[in-house]
Amino acid sequence: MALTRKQKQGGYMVIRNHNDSGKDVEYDTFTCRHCQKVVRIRPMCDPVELGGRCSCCDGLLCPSCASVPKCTHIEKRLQDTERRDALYQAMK
Amino acid sequence: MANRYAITGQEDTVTSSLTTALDLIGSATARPEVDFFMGSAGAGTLADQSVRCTLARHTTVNTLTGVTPQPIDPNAPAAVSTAGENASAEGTYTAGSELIDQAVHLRSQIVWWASSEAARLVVPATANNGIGFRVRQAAGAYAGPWDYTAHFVGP
Repeated sequence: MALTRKQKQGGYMVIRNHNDSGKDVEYDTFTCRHCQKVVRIRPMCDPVELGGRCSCCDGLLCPSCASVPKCTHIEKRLQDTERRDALYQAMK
Repeated sequence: MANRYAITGQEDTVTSSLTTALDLIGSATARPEVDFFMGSAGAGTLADQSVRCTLARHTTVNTLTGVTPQPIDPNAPAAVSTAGENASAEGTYTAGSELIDQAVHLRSQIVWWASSEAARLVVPATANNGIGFRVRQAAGAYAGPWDYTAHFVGP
């Protein structure tokens, strides 16, 4: 987890000709450090609506993960999935 | 440096249920990371309607038409990860696990890219697990094609 501290999680989303209006709509985004949900950042929104920050892995979190008082870093989740599958394959 | 690959897929007929138009599948030796995708209506009759584009993780394989990842660098080796399009049967998607969920007008185009490594969407190195690029009708009953293009980094 320490390897991901201070790593930026930013992305960008563009919806061209949004709602057939002839205008493009653009958003900064960030990827939740725990579940990898892509969160759109609406300008001037309440920061609480964006989610939160994990005090353990120092990552930006989506609103769902911000309400969970535990660090479930995506790397840990991926390793859990991979180990579970490796065990299942070994037992077959 | 990891190699980048491109995959494209089309859902031939958008329905009222989520169907997988494009799928990136990991394996025990491959953990691909999606860092770009775009979606738009295919060569259908475009009307004042919209679809919902959803990226979600699946834990069992969809029944797909195979897609061969194309290396962005022609000198790169063939991808270890696999892909598919136009699912005829859906695998198991974890409820509430959408990574991106956005309604898009048929005459619009949605584009997303990751600006850094930590923003990429990672597929676990587990067989049959992957990220599905799905689509369904939102406003209206569009029943034409929907296209996705995605880039990923990895083996």
